[in-house]
Amino acid sequence: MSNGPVQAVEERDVALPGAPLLEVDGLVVHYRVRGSGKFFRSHETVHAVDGVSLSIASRETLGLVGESGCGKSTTGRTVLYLERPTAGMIRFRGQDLSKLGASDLKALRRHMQIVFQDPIGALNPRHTVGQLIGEPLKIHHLVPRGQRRQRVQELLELVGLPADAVSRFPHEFSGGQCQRIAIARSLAVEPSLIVLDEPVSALDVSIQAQILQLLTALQDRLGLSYLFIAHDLAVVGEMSDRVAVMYLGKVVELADRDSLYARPYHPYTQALFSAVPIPDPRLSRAKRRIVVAGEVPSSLAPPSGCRFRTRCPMAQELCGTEEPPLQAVADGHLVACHFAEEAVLRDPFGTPVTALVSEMGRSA
Amino acid sequence: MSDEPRGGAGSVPAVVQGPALLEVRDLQVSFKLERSTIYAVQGLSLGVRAGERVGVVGESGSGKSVSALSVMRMVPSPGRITGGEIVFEGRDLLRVSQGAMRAVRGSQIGLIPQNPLTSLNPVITIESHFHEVLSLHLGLNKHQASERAVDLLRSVGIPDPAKRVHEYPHRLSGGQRQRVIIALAIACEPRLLIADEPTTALDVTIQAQILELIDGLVERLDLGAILITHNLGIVAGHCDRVVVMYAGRVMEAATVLDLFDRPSHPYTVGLLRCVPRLTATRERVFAAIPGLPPQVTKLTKGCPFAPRCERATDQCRTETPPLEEIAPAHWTACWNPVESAEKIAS
Repeated sequence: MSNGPVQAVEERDVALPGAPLLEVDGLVVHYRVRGSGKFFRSHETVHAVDGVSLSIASRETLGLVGESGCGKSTTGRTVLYLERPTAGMIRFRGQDLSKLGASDLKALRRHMQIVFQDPIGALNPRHTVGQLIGEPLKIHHLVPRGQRRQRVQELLELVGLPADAVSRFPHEFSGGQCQRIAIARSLAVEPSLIVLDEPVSALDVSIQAQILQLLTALQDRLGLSYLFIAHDLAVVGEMSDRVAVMYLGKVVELADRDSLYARPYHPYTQALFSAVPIPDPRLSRAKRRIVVAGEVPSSLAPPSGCRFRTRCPMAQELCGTEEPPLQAVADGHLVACHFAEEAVLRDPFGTPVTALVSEMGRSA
Repeated sequence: MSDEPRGGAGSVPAVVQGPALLEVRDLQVSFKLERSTIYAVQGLSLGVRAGERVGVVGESGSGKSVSALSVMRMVPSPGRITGGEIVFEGRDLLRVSQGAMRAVRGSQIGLIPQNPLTSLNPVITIESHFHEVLSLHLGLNKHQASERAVDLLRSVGIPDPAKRVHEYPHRLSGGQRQRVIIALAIACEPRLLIADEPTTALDVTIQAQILELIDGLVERLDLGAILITHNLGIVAGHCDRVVVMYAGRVMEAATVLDLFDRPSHPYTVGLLRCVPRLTATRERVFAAIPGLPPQVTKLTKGCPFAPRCERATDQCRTETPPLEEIAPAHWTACWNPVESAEKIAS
C-alpha cells in the first residue's frame, strides 16, 4: 500500500501543529428570495445561518444537531465553500477560504470532503463503482492511470465492500452499501476533514450501526476529523467529542459531549432531549416528559432576541429585547441563554434521560 | 396539554382487555413482477382490541407497510392478497364487495399515511378535504361538514381552526399537515386507526407532539390502533403490544414489557442492541447485525433470519420455525430462542 491513506496521515499532522484544523467565525448565510406583492416585488431574506462560530481540531468529531431548517446542513456545505457565505470567516489549515482563488480552492478541497444523506441519489447511476471512486483520483491527479484500479480496490477493501464491486453499478447495491461507496469516494483523495451530512438517517437501524462502526474505525485508523451533522441525539452522542446544538440558524449550546448529555443548560436542548423516544418501556413511562409546544418559527422573520423565546416556558421580557450571547457556564460548555443557570434548576422539560439512566443503574 | 402517559407516571403498561376489534390470520401478500414474485407478507397473524395500541416493527422491506395496507385492502398493484383472513368486527374484509369495502375505509378504519407532505390534495382547501369525507360517509351537507371540520381541527390542536380550514395544504407546516390528516382519519369516528410511520417525516419535537395526540385519541375514543414504525423507542413509549416482522414474517409478538425485558428471538435481541441510546457518557460502541435483510423472491424452507443469526443451526436453514407461544401472550418463531438468562448484554 504505497499510496495508502495510512501513510498520508503522518505528513499531514506535521503540517499542522496545535492549531485547529477548521475554524469558523461568525458565519452568516442568507438567501434572498422573492417575496409577495403584486406590482413591486419585495425581497425577503432567509436567515439560514446567522453568526455561527465553531472549530474542529485534528482527529476530532464535532456533532451538529438540530431540527430541520436550523441551518445545520447549510453550515456543513458552507464550511466546504460549496455555498458562499454572506459574511464570516472560514479558515481551513490556517488558510482563509475567502482569499483563495478557484484553483487554490480546488486544491484545498482535496483535504475536505462531504458524504451526503441520500447515498443512492449521491452516486451517478450510470457510472460503475470503479468509475465513481476513481473519478476524484483522476480530478486531483493523485494516482497514475495504471495504478488507479489497484487503488480503487484498496479503498473498497477499506470500507468493507467486495473487490468485484468495481465493475458493478450503484443500483445493484443496498442503501448501506451505497453509503460505503460514497465514503470510499470521499476517502479516495485522502482528506483530513469529512463533513458527514446525516450519513445514516436514510438507513435501517441494523445497517446504521454498521456504517457508524465503519466511520469510527476509519477515523481511528486514518486520523480523520469529522463534522457530523444529524438530527438524532443518540447517534450524535456516540460519534462526537463535542456537540453543537443549533436552532434557527444559531448555535444555542456548544459543549463537550459528556458535559452536554449529562446536563443540558439551554431550554431548547432540554426540549430536544425530552422529545427523544426512549427504547425502554419502563423508563419512557416513568419519565416526567413535557413536550415542547409550537413549531419552529419561519426563518424569513426570526424572532427578536433569543430565537427560542416563542416556545420557551421560561421566556421573559429580556429574552425578546436582547440576544443572549454564547457564554461559558462551565469548562468548555457554552450556552446562549439569559437564564441558563435557572433553566438547569427549573428543568422545564423534565430530567434528561441520561441522568435517569445513570440513576437507575445505580439503584439496580 | 396532557403530558402524562396512560396510567400515570411510573406505571407499567397494562394488558388491554377490551373486545377484539381486528383479527388478522395467516395473511399472505405477494407482488407478481415480470420475472419474479416478491412474497411481501407470509403468514401474518395479529389481533387488535379496542383501546389497544399494537406496534408493528421491522426494517424496510419487512412487509410492515404492506400489511397495514392489506387491512384496508389497498395493496398497490401488482400486489395481491393471496390468502388469509382479515376479520374486522366479525366480518371477513377479504370477502366483502368493493362497495362495502369503500364504506369501511375512512369511516370505520382510519389511515394515517406516512408522508404528510404528499397525502393532502394541494389544489383544494383543507375544508374541501373534510367535505369529501363527511358527505361521502356521513351524508353531511356543506354547512354541517364545515362546522364539524372546525371542531375536528380544534380537537387535534390546530390553532385558529376557523381560519385555517379555508387554507390550502401548502400553507401549513409538516406537523400541522399531519394533524389535519389525523383529523381526517378520525372524522367519521372510526373504530380502528392505522398509522403507517406517522412521524418519520417529522422532527423529534413535532414527533413527540403527534404521538401524544394519537395516544390521547386512542384513549378518549377507545380506538384500536396499529402503529407501524421502525423506531423501537416509539414502540416502547406508545404501544401496548408489539409484533416484530422480518422478511414478511412475524418473528416475535409480545406485550411491550415482555419484548423489552425478555426478548426471545435473536432478531429482536439484535434489533434492541442496535438501537442508538442516549447515554450519560460516550461509549463509541455500535452493535450491528451483520449482513443485509433478504429480498424474498422465493418461498424457501427455513428461518429467513438464519443467514444473519449467530445462533443458527442446520435445522434453522432447512425448516421454517412455527410461531409458538413460549409464555402467556408471548409468541416467537425460533428454533433456538434466547433464554432470559442471557439477556441483551448491552
